[in-house]
Amino acid sequence: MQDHTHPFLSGLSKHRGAPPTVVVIFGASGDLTARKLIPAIYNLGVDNLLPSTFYLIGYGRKPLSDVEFQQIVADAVKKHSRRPISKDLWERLQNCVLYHTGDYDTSEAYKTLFDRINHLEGTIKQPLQSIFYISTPPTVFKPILENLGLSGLAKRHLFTAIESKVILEKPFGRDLTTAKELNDIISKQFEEKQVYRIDHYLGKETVQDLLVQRFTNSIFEPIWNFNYVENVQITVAEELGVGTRSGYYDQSGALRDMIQNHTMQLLSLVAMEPPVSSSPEDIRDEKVKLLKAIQPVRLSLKGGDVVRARYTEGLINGEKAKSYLEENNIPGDSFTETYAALRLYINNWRWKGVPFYIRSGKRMARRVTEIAIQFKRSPGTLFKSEQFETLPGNSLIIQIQPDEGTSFILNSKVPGLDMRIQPVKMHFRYATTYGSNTPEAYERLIIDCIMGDSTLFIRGDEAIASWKLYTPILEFWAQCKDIGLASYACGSWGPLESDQLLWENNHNWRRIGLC
Amino acid sequence: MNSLLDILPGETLPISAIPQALKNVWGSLGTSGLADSKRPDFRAVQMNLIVHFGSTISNQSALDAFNTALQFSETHPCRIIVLCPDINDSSTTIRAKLFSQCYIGSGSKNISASDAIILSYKEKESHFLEYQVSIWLDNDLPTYHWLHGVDAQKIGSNYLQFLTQCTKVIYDSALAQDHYSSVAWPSNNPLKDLTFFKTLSARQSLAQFLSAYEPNSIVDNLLSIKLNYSSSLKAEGLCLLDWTEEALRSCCQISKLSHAIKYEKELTDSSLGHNTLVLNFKYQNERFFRWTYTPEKLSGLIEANLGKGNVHYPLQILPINLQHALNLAILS
Repeated sequence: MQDHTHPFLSGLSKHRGAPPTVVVIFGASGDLTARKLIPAIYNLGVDNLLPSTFYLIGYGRKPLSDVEFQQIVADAVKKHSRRPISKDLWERLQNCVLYHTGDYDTSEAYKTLFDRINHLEGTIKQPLQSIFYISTPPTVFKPILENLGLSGLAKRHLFTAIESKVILEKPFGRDLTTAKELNDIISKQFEEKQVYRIDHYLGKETVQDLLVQRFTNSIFEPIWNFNYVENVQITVAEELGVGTRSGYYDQSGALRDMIQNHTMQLLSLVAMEPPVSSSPEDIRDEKVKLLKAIQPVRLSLKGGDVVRARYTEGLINGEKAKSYLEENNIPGDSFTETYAALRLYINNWRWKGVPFYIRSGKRMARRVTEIAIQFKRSPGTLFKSEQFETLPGNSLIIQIQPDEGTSFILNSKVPGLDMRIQPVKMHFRYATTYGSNTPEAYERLIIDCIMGDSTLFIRGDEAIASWKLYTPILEFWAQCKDIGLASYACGSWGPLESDQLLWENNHNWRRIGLC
Repeated sequence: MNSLLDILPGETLPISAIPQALKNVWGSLGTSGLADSKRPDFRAVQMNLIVHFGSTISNQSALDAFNTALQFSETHPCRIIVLCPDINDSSTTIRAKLFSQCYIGSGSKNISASDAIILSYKEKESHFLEYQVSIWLDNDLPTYHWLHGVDAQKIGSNYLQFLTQCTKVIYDSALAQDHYSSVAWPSNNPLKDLTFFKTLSARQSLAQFLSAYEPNSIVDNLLSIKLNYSSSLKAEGLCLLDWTEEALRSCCQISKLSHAIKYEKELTDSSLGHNTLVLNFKYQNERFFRWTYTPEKLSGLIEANLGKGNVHYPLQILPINLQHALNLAILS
């Protein structure tokens, strides 16, 4: 990490004082680059967080000039940036936006890229940190990584504060075997500390706030265990269907697309032990420990711990929505799941016997990501009445998106002569407490990588631990094909089988409305 | 023919626009010039209230119920969802309106704001209602579902799953054809009858008097109970009779008396006078009890001799209006 010794940086955020950096984006014409990466880099510029010497090089197969790529970048900023494009800022940044044409598997293009970066260093008379952002389909990860190694780009300024870094977008493999293969390929070209595997959920303010809420509020730690927690529910629901991603999605499914990565990040932050320090390695050590403690999932067509389903036609916002099999480019014999739900148990002293329910799906009633910690009901010896029998226990709800915030539900007496009790909500909203000018996830992640802070990135062993849990499920489903594949209507909260998973323990899925 | 959605107030908008419209409604509150974070948060919510109209309900009845829900929300801030079955032959599956109001009462504690999402839906698509509505509710808080004239048969076939998600289901036996007894409610029957709550003051008057007597002195030698009711008070009368029957059964249990008491009801010809309810306890011996209630006069009368001599006991019985009954049904 950057060592701030400069007097002018004294008292300023640790994200200030980034070294001269060039970011090379592989997949420069891709959707993620336009929607997220370019706007993120631009907004870092707005906040004066980009290093004073900064270059962005787009790398792609399509031949483009620097000027043409600058126009693409400007258009992306205008369309997707959370803040409008500033003429003055853009005039300064524009000159630093370059394009490099090349195939992903042609070593010559990487050699010329190496020369180009060397030339930039010669121009500015300073060494440049090189960050290689791989935002391409996973089929080209291998040639890119190998060529970064062969060309020497991976080893630039190695073992210094500005050694090369590589950022990889998910998926990190399709299963345990391919994840290990990918890690092997990476490790042949890069040291682990140079590798930044992105899960953009970790860049969200609310996800980072999980650690703060857990470990700076002492009232929670004593009750954050099996003695007081009834169950934990993690929901990542999407309203949209597969849209233009049908080709990729049908090869992936809900488990690979969302559950194996995003929900596991949420789970590990909620359930992990307090780390010994806030260093990236100590935090990630605890996350890996947590993942390793998750009990293997019971797999069965009846009575197991996993449910998968596919959406059928329904209504979303009053409009008819077609079934998954009717979407473009979905083969008629597909058995890809668009919804999955699991019941997990963590075998450690803290969580023994507490079910962690996880669900994710497309075409659900609404888009929402939340974590709900449901506490056990009080013993009920004080107020003996019928209404008390149906009172819920307390809940701590962390809404990750949209309407980021935290709610705590407790029981209260309704004013009046009678003893009437009903749940009430204490609520903290990011938007009304802090205003709406919070950085986007990718802004945080990119600047962290520039500064050399890997806390919010996934370590290699973390990815492997997650795949160890999920690969048996995928293999089971591959054997079963469409046997056991349930269905749910578009616009609903999932299949009945998913409700039954919780009913076995007298629990119910939360219906998550606007609040 | 206008649908109920058309006669209720509010701004029509696409379903998909509702979340943003709700945010805009609340975003525009507060003193202008203040930053978002400094605006007072008028929007407190204690509960969700779903008002669900039957397909045969009149426009006026629907408007009255809607206004009642709004009045309720002034003292008990809630998210209101109004469901209107669309009996017209239009192609649109679901239409929506958004209504909001600020209520400013006599002091700073009497300021609140309400919003109501009004939905018109085709009955054949009613199985989607539950999911669509669920995204607008604050599901961590209780949800009360008020069935205003919904046919019992349709409950079983279309809405039961939806209703079992709710904390309480409120209906009015004065409107419902058969007290919803044909519906297979879950074992923790959440059903609350508005008419029953409208009889609160009447029940209080009976209970206040009768509780002064030991249970066995009320039921000893009691042969029959007869309710005489005017046609406009039939629902109230039947609620009273059921309540009386239940109370007398408990009295018998406590007294360890097992004789059967006959319960009768008779329609009174109200053209002869005011609408009344009369409850008569007939005993085998000289004891008697007669309770009369005339709502239009806000008065009642108890004439009785239950072993402590003759009693002539005038009563003031104030009626319970629909809003008060709704309060009671939800909060008790």
